[in-house]
Amino acid sequence: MSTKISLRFKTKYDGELLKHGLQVRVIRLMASVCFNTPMGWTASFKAIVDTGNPVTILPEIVHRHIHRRILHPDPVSLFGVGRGEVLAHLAEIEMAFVGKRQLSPPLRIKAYLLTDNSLPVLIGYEDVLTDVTLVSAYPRRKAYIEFR
Amino acid sequence: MQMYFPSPTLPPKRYWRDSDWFDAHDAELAEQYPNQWVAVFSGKVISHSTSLGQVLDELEPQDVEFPVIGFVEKGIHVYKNLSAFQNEI
Repeated sequence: MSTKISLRFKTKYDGELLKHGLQVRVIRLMASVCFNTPMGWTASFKAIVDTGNPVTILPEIVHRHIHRRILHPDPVSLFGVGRGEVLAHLAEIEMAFVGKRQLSPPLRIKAYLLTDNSLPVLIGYEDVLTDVTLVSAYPRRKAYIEFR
Repeated sequence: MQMYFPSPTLPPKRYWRDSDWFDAHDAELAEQYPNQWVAVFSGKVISHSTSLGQVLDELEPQDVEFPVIGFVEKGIHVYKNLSAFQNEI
């Protein structure tokens, strides 16, 4: 028995380039996710499924109240996010994918916990996309992740 | 707004309508609220800020269940996420 969670494509044109007559689509693969906290599970947040991202990244306010176990006391530098380099703690957290008809099983994953809120929730490979079948078929506007 | 639930909870159909609305209006939202966190409920923006904490604070006293909360990107954002310690397995 598998659990299939639909993902959604968000497509828009880059507004600045469009002013110059250039049509460049900005496409994101979106999921809804929730997190376990000492008070219970949060409502859903929109998250980007980012296959170029090795490890899930959470902005500060999302991880501030969630169950987390810091895995290393020293923060790690992440390059290329924010305005260049940002600090983040590697931690273990619990999350779930939210679909229209089904929920994923709770997932215990490693994630980088950012020190600010300037970025969206970015779902990465480690412990998440490594454990599911990801289907992304943009021409058919069909995408999902499947848990077995 | 109910902030927490005893277990992961399926949102109502209205949430998915709002989620579709959010995505369909992303370009307009990016013009009005560039690189901000935005909350949508019943096809309306009910809160926005560069601080997600402020958005959640504004939502908490309101009578809204399962608003759609997302980050509205303006322009092309590339999130590289490369830590300083890399080696190949």
